[in-house]
Amino acid sequence: MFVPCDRGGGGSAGSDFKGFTLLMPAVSVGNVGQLAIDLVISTLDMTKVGYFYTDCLVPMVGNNPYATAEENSMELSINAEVYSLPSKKLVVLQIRSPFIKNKYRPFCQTLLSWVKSSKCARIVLLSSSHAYQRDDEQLLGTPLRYLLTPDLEKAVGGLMQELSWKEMEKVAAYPGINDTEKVLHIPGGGITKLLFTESCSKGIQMAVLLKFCSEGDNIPDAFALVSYLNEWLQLIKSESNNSTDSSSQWKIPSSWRLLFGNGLPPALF
Amino acid sequence: MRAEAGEVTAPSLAHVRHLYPRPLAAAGSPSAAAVPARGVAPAEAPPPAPLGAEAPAAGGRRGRLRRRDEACSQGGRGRAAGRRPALWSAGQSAAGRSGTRWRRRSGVSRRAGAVGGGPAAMATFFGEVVVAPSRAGVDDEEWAEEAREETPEDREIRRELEKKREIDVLWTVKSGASTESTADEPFACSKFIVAIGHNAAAFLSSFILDSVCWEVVGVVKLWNEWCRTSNTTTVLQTDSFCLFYRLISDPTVLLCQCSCYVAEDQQFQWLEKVFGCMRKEGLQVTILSTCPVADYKTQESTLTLPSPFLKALKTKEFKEQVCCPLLEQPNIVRDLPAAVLSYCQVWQIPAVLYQCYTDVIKLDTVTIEAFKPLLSTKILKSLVKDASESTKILKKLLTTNETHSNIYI
Repeated sequence: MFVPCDRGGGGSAGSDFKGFTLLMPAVSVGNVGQLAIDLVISTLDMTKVGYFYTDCLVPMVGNNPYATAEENSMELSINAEVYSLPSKKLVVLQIRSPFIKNKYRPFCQTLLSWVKSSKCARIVLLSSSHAYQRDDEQLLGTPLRYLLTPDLEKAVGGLMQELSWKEMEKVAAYPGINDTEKVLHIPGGGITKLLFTESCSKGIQMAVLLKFCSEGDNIPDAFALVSYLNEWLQLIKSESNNSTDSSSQWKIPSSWRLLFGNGLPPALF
Repeated sequence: MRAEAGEVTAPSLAHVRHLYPRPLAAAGSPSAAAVPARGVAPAEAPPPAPLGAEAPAAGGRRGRLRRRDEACSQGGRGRAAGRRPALWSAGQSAAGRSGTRWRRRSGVSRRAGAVGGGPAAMATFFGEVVVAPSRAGVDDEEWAEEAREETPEDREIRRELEKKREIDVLWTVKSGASTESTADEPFACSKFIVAIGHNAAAFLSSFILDSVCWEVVGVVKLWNEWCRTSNTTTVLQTDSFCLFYRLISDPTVLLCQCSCYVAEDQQFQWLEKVFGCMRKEGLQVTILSTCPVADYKTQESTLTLPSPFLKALKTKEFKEQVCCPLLEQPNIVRDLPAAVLSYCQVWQIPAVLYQCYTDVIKLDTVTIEAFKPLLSTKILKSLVKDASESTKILKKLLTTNETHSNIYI
């Protein structure tokens, strides 16, 4: 359930997302989607407008992950928060903790009903999938893939072809036995497949952008995914066309410190 | 290519399954229900000491990285314990399985695989392909499979389990200003102090609570893999319990001692049921909790930190002075304390959480005394009882505890 932060001020400012694009992560391998969302929120300096209050996620609290100075560092953050940027018609849902078992389906249902009631135009889901489970076809070329629901496909037309993006390949359901029956398979993608199929059947415009990756230092993956997203949505101006320097345009949030543990005990040396 | 990968993975699957048995209840899934005893703590396992029971689950790669007492505090949630709130700990490995595809493709039923656990005991050979643990949290194949295989019988078991895991808050208020015990008439509450964990609960017992000024007004009844609380309100300090007390002279002051393990799927219920009984206006919440110092993230090594120490987190509405430094990024708090604080943040209730980072997770005088600065805060100042008594009670508490832990030596 969406709960606006500021319920005193008329209530309209926070909860009206008519025509907005909802950007959200799937909790998936390497947390790539979540890291990419972090980059978006921190770079665009988005304002928090509410919480997604739910029983489907593990509880978690901490201080402001996007703190830039002492003054704003002590704002409490919880496991699912909604940020907005009206100038770009963008609303972002950040998820900071894993799902509780058996709660994936209820979460997707609540989410989609919120999307409908808040009149968001479309959902863009950032996700990832196990690199080691790719098939021969998927091993070729870029590790980035997209998926569109039929309704969004109608709306965006041939844009993805213009960008020369690759659609996520379907894989044989029974390899070696029957190669004609193909299914969508996103291993390690968390709720990605469920949310996508639900959106297809409910006529919701939704795009999945994902990257094949492995567990480890997933910061480069996050940069790759967020740049991929930017090719389409143009959230920030890409100053140069050479992609080597694209990472410097995104602002790393302060909470990414110590991702790989604490300092070493001095007695070690 | 794919099929080959699947085949190589096959033997190790059983191995992984063995390492990460499903917690009976967190799962509540048909297969878990059908094979309840596998790797799950025996039903009568004494709740305060989940370590021994958890050992087989945590002893693998997860346990290697984690301290003994941390594993203990986690309460052995099996697979769930490995799942950390994702983002801020994105560098850490966690338990998880994947590769369920093999089972599906080869037509081996999940149940059959679980029951015929023979290969699970297989030795680990060098060079064996082991499925990489993943932070993905969800295996989409897994739930799809579960949904497909669920029979009416499974559903029945799942429903029963869910019913059993429901939390009950029993209010035992007789008559007075805030009479009706059920949720239909929420009672006024000005201060709500929640102590989570044995040390925090013992702090309240020794410095605040006494039988003269306080009366028991409620108890939480819950059932999960680590904890079965009883209905009675007379408990030993070493029991797992969750009790509510009320100040006799001011019935709006409510205190909660929660030393039992509240599972992830029960925390939301706990909030809804406990806060559902209270009027939110004028309410102020204080939460006390402990966690292992190894969880604390800092530039330095945690070995050099002078533990125990206090850190605080507060909601936007909490305007009072906090008696210790606030918790720095990228540190986070999990579980019930986090659930309570999140609830307060979302519903705009002023609340503060005092988290004590300690290197001793069991009942410990030094840890308990680390909470002492709180006694001078505005909220607790008026509630503090005679200090000389406190030390005595504290000693008694610890002695009781020690007697209990020595019983098998």
